[in-house]
Amino acid sequence: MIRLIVGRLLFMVPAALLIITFLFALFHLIPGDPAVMLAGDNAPRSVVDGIREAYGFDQPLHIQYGRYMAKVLQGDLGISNYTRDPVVNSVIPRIINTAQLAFLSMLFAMVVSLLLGCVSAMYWNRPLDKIVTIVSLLGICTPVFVTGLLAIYFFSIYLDWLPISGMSSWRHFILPVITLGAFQAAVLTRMVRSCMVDALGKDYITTARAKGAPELLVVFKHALRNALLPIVTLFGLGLGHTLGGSVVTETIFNWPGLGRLMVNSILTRDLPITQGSIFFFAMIFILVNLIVDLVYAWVDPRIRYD
Amino acid sequence: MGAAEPLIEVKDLKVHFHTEDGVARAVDGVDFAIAPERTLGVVGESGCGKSVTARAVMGLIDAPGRIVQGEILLRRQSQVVDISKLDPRGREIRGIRGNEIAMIFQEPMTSLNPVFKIGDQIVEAILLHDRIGRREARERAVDLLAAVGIPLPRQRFEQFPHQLSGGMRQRAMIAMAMSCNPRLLIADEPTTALDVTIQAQVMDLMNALRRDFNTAIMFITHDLGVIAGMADDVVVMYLGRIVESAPVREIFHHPKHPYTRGLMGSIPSLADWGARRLTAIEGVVPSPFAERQGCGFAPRCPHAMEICRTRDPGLEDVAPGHAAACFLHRAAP
Repeated sequence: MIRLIVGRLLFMVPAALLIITFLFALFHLIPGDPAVMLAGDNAPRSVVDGIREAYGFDQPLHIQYGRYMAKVLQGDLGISNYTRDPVVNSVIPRIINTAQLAFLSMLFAMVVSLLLGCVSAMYWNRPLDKIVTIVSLLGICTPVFVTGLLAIYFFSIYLDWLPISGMSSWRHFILPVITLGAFQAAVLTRMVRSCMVDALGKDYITTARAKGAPELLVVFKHALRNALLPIVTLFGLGLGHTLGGSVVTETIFNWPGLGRLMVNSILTRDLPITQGSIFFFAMIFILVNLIVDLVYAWVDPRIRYD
Repeated sequence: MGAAEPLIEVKDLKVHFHTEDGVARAVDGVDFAIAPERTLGVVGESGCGKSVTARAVMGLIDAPGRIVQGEILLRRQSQVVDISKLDPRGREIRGIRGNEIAMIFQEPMTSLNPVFKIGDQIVEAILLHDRIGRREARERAVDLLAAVGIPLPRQRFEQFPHQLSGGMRQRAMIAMAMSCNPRLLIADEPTTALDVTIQAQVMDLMNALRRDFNTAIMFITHDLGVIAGMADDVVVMYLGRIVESAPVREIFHHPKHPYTRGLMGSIPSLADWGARRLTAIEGVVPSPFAERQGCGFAPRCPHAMEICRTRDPGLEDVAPGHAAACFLHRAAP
């Protein structure tokens, strides 16, 4: 188990290096002279040259790459073109906001999908299962912005129960979390259902029933633990998706998250911020994958002991 | 069969599966009884209804299957329970399953839950039925693993199914089945998926356990050789019905039904090496969806007569303790 963890941690290193390389390339792949971009289209030549020298754009590419890599590894992601603050300072609080939203949404999606999926599988092909299937299909078909706007209209404007935007109290979390989580809950419910139907058809389920185990134990211990393997993968993917997909939700609910920061930085051509956002998104993805792998090993002894 | 009161008695059992393609009559009127401490061998080709019969006795018929008729009477000291009338998810049948009647299956590879330790799976079976502490249950599980011939039982207790070989897994399954000292053990092709040498070991083990635990066994197989080594009595099933039933010696020495004889004819024997061709039974098992008319075996039977196609022979005694469902062995009707 420890070997597995260490192996996975070591695997993060080349992944991180690749991401940094990609970010460096991004700077140079987008059309236009980076110095002109920073200085602005109408800047005098002397200013552009000054910037070029200050940022080291006049150096050969491999030296620039080495410098960039060294800076990133020291935690320096550059300075925002607009606020002149270090990128890290503006990105970190945003990450926390986005992570809160994403993790709570996934928690919501997990609880809902495990419950509905298991119930659906237990009542396979019966009316309850059909209702769950239709509802989850609706959830999958509805885009996040529609869910979000409908939720705002119903709960904030019509019923006046919940605030529309911002994140100053726990009540502000409810609508964004449900909006962002609903889609994942719908996708995962279908997945949990099919994995559970599959697991419930296995021989060891008959063995468990033949022991005299009550149905709830059969479903939630024997079947669920086995169905969890593919489900964990999808939870991981879903979490990644939720982090990335939070942009729309953050925009609808005016949520000060990383997604909105990144979109704004692209619109204002604040490249260091864009790079920083991508860097942290990527790191979170790697981390999530690591967690998924470890949960895998916990769920399935065949992975743990091989 | 034995003179003692039967432990379990199945009367006119019918299990039908209602599917979109029609009604499959998987078990279509089966009667048998098993006396305490006796072994009943149930033989037949795939699809003859032998496994469904076993599941019915366990109360484990899943939708779309349903027991449509008949009784499954389990005799206890003071009362008789009809398993076919119990709620298949109810408390009463759960108290019987794994406790009074236990079952082992064909595939040891897939019958144990891959994500739980062998020992914990046995402990679970014990704790479901006996009010004892976890520690005590652990000790009993280790003893059981030792009793079924698993070396280093304490280490094996902590292992997962994938770390054991097929034979060891089947032993672990047997240990689990024996954990509450059942009065009837149903073994559904327990040796089919194993190597021949392992098969022999598992059969020896089951015979030994039967003596030690005084358990009756319902042994399901398509392998007549296994039946010869295990059973006291034999029933031969074809298309959801019993076509012949007799003590094991009788059935091997004087098979009456053409289907039983066909099964015997398809076993190779060293005694007549090269002198005889193996005979296969012509044709295939008819669809269980088809409406039955006359004897189910008539379309494949080399001795089929006119009456076989129109009238159902029904199981009747041809000798003391020996019954066959065939017009060949009857005085002219």
